[in-house]
Amino acid sequence: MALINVNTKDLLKLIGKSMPLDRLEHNLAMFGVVPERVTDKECELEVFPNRPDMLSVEGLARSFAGFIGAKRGYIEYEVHNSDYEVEVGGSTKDIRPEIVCAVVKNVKLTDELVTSIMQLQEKLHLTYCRKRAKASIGIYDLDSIIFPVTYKAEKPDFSFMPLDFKRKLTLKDILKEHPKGRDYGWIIGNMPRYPLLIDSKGTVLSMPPIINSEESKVTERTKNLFIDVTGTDKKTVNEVLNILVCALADRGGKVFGVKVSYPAKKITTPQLEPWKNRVSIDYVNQVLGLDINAKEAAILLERMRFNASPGKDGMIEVEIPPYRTDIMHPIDLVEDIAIMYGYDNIEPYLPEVATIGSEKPIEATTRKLRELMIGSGYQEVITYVLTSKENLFKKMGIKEEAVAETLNHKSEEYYACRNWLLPNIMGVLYANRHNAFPQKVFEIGDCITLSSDETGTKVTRRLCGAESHEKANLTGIKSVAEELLRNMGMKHEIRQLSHPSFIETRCGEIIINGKRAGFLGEVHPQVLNNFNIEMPVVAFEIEVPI
Amino acid sequence: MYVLTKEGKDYLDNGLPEKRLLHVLRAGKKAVSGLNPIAVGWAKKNGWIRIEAGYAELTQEGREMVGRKTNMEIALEDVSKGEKVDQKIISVLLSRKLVQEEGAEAEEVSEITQLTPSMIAGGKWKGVPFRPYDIKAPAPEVWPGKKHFFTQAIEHIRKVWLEMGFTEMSGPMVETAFWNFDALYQPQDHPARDMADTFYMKNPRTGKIPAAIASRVKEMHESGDDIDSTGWQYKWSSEVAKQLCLRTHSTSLSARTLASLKPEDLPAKFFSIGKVFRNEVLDWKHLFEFFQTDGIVVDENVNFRHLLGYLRRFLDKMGYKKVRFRPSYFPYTEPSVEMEVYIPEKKSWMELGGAGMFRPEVVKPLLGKEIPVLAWGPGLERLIMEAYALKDIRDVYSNNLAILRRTRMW
Repeated sequence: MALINVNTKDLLKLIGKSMPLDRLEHNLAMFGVVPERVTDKECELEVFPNRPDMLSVEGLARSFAGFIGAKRGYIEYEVHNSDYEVEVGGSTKDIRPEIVCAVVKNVKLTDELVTSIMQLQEKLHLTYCRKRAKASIGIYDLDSIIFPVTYKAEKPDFSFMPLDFKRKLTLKDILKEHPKGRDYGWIIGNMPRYPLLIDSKGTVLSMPPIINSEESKVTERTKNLFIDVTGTDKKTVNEVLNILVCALADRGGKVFGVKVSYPAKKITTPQLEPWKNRVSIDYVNQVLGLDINAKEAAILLERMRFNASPGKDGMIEVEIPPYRTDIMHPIDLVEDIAIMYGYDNIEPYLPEVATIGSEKPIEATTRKLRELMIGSGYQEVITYVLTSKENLFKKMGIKEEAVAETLNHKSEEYYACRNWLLPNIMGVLYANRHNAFPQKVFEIGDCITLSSDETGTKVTRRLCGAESHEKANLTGIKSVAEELLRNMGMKHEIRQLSHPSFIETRCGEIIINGKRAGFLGEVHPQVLNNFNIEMPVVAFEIEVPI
Repeated sequence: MYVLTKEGKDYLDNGLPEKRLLHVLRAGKKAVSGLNPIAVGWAKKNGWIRIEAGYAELTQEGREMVGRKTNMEIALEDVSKGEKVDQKIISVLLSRKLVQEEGAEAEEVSEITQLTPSMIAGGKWKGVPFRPYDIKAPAPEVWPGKKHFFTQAIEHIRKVWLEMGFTEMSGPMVETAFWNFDALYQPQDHPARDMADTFYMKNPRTGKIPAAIASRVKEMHESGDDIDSTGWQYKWSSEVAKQLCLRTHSTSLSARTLASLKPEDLPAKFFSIGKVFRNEVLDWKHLFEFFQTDGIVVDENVNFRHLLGYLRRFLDKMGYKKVRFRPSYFPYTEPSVEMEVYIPEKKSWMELGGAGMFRPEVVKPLLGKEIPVLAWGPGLERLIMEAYALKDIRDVYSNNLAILRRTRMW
């Protein structure tokens, strides 16, 4: 999920159609972009992760214009021939192997364009490029570069002047001292050498994915751009380059190819030809429940800027633009057809599917137990499954045992999965120490215990009831617990139990079918002290039978 | 010889009203209009409270009295044990009708306050006027046992699912990444699988995954297997899939259920309601643990219009008459939908949650065939916050008895 800001006037100009703000907001929502805020100056929009091409106003306008009917059909992106070359040595293969490049000339660097391209680069880096690890973009002033450019892995003691600095630093020091080095150094930090893009005169372009150099940076006087995308995944670097280049082309830029020479192969990028796919009209109607023909479906796809025409055997032949990354299966074309058709034009219809509903048996048992506790005047509470080991063991006065616990939690209070309920109930009573007494509370909830199951854990449901008031004593809670078990038809026996959370000789275990099913007693004053509770507490806890 | 009256016995068991008042005021001052007038009167007389601008507040004396037994309470105990009590205190107890002389029930009364069994049986009520009670005098608040308001909401949602013919699914909370992510076609480098967003487990660390299904899921991620898909085109790792985490959505249960279905089980409809976990820092808008509900319809013959039909009916049963659908995105559904409902009181639309049709890449490895699966699941905390006008999401789990006791039924 990425939020972008676009200049409203700019957006409407690129779409080529004006409309009042409320219509704009509605149309954006029905197109599939969430309008967080729409004003006559600026729009704050949420773009979904499957459309990284819409992270810039150019890409957004391109597809949105089709939705509102202002434009239609496939945009041909021409890549002109050139002599620009980038040489890739073998040294980057195990470090950051993929690189693709492009040249875009005659770019008018207006404020809108610069803002848009910078935001596109930033948002792509953050989302689709997985924080620059998978791919990263470099943009440079073409006229400051003498070709051929070399992409290689350089020694950490090589130095150049990084962006925003007034002196040269070694590559190693850039990772330590430059803000971008600190943010993204982790991507290459443990490598023996670092990626470097350098021209034939020794002018450094950048150390991907970290930072550009001051010497080849884009300024207000820049007329022509050189772009590179480096990364670990071939598909991703190509897609990212295409998205960037198409946005610039939509603004009037002229695109030139760059020959990238790897040791084993030579490619020319960007590769902006469409790729072909097809979808059957029967499949479209089957999935969507509509009754449209292939010609109508093709028109809808053209509005989404595909090239589409009805072919043989009810198939629709589709050409997919180079900036689209999300078409994996014909179903992705079906969704685009549905969006263009208009979700609000699709008539909901409830089918006749006769099935009988049913619940898990434990829910019926839980409901009975809850009813009985309420009947005894108890207020239900709901607490978190995640708690701390201090809560579960130390504060309850018992020895620590192994429980399911998390690795990367952000809080020291919530990281261990509860295996019993009473500690949380004690927490509830502490939180309510200023409220009126008597206080009678219960919780029926799931606890997690370790087991040898496939997930190493088991979910068990437990019930815990507790009473707190000046006259709270063992007899009181025993009456409640026994009444509960009697009503559930659970034949039970109560035996003396020694449990450190409870007062010695005022604690019992509940035996059902010869096994320990729970316990009850007067909570030990040391435990009350640990929880900062000043009122006596009596409690019982049982495992809920399935 | 004196004995306790019924009222006297009640006060002995539960405390004098003016004493209970002290507990109520411990937390802070309260409006007099909401308090027991008898308690207020006696507490004021004893110098335990002061009243200012309609509010009653504990004095230092009152605060000190909280843990201690009052003279009256000791006297009531003595009377109940048949011991002698100071005559001055007895007069007070008599005037408060907390004690009476033994056999005094047989006495004539000029005015009846409390009707007693012997009066009813012996006819002593005939011709004797009843002491008028002020019907407007505030009665003390009582708190019946009650479901937590969240449980009430869950029970309501449960009913909606059952009435629509859905069968419940349940399953592990600690789940392998396989069922939580991989089986739902979420690639292994997807941001949602980040350490920042998901709770990974330290103990236990890894789990087991079903070999046959895992190999089909691997093929699907890597190359789109034998359906018309490109797949994600990366190398899938079974080690990553075995990592255990706290489930981030209940859709993991839908995946497990799909994998367990046989052709003769269709058409089938399943729902789940359960806790899910996200590695968030607790604040007014975010919880690390919350409830989610999920429903799936598995049927050869269902389509997108049917999904919208189900959603409209489901939302209608939830109480939302005006709803709309707009395009959305989830990694495992295509097409995807966001449900919005109209809140008349606020005159605005509220997002309720996502829905969609499971991608063929999800369904094929689990079910063996590309069969349409409709799916939807609103988040519950938002519903609750809307229904109870809560501003801070943590209030849902504050378990503040003052609030729980007073919250209206769902």
